[in-house]
Amino acid sequence: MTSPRPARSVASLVAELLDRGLDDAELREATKQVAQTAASRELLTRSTFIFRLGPEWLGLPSSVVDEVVETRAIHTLPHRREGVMRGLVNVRGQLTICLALEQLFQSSTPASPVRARQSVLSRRLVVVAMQGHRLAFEADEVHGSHRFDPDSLRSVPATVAKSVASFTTDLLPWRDHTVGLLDAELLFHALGRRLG
Amino acid sequence: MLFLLFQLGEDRYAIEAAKVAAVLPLVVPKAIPGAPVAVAGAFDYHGTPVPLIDLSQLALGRPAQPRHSTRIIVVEYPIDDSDPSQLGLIAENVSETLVRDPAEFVPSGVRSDGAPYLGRIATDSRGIVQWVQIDQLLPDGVRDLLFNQPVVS
Repeated sequence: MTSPRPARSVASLVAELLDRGLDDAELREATKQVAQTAASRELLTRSTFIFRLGPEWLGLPSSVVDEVVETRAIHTLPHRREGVMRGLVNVRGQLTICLALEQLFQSSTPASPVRARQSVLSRRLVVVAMQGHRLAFEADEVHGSHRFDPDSLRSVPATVAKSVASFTTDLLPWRDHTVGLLDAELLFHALGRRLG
Repeated sequence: MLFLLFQLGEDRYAIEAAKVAAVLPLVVPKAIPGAPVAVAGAFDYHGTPVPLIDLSQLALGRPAQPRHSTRIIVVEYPIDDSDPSQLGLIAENVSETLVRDPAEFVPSGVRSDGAPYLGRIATDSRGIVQWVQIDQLLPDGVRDLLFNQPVVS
């Protein structure tokens, strides 16, 4: 029989951990890190929420994203079968408008069959909060929040499909992809207008 | 108002978080020969030399213990109002913050001429917290030594 571990609070365990002595190697490492100049450090001062719509990787400011939940039944509204409005979804008891963001970008490239099968599993409902309103949309894949150095941003080339580019402020290289960072205010203003 | 807590010996002290520029791990400072004992030296903070004061040495006459919880609090130190400089303070047990209304701090009733930086006190369930006034921290001699001439040649 194993002896029961003494019950200790998390706070006292943390205190104990922080009470450990520092050795020379740790001191030298800290000295080196503190001495690093701004030029040699990546300043991860901004954060974006990365998700995929069809073939496109996009980023919204992390501050507007409220939660990411499993996809669920979307209740369509009568006489609103077209356009950006997809219907209403139930997010923890709250009826939330579900939008079809891809409509706004009018992405005409159809997803390949393999992609389509993948996307069923990876689809998530993203709930955003803007100016007191909660809105939801379905993303084909969600990476989550990603911190980045504003210096790594690139400007949007003129050749990018116009519909996406009009909401994209910057491009962020991320893994093997390029993420289009969206202007949330502009995007939701445009959505609001379409919803009437 | 948010305060950053630290310890001198067994007692807890607080400085205004608004005056704190950064909290860093303990580093190996470059010694300044001939400086008063409370001056631990100067350290390279992202390319800028910042003077370092050991608060334990200043208040208790013994150096701070080298532990993970012993950290450097970088504060904006006012030399004159127009041009604040940074000053590093080595303090023990820098691991907590406290939110209190400044009005809840009351005069301690004891004024120590040797430690004019010790200000008003507040109490909570774990005892007394004393507010440390950054601008009163350095004795005039130390202040002139640190800020009126380049610290690192």
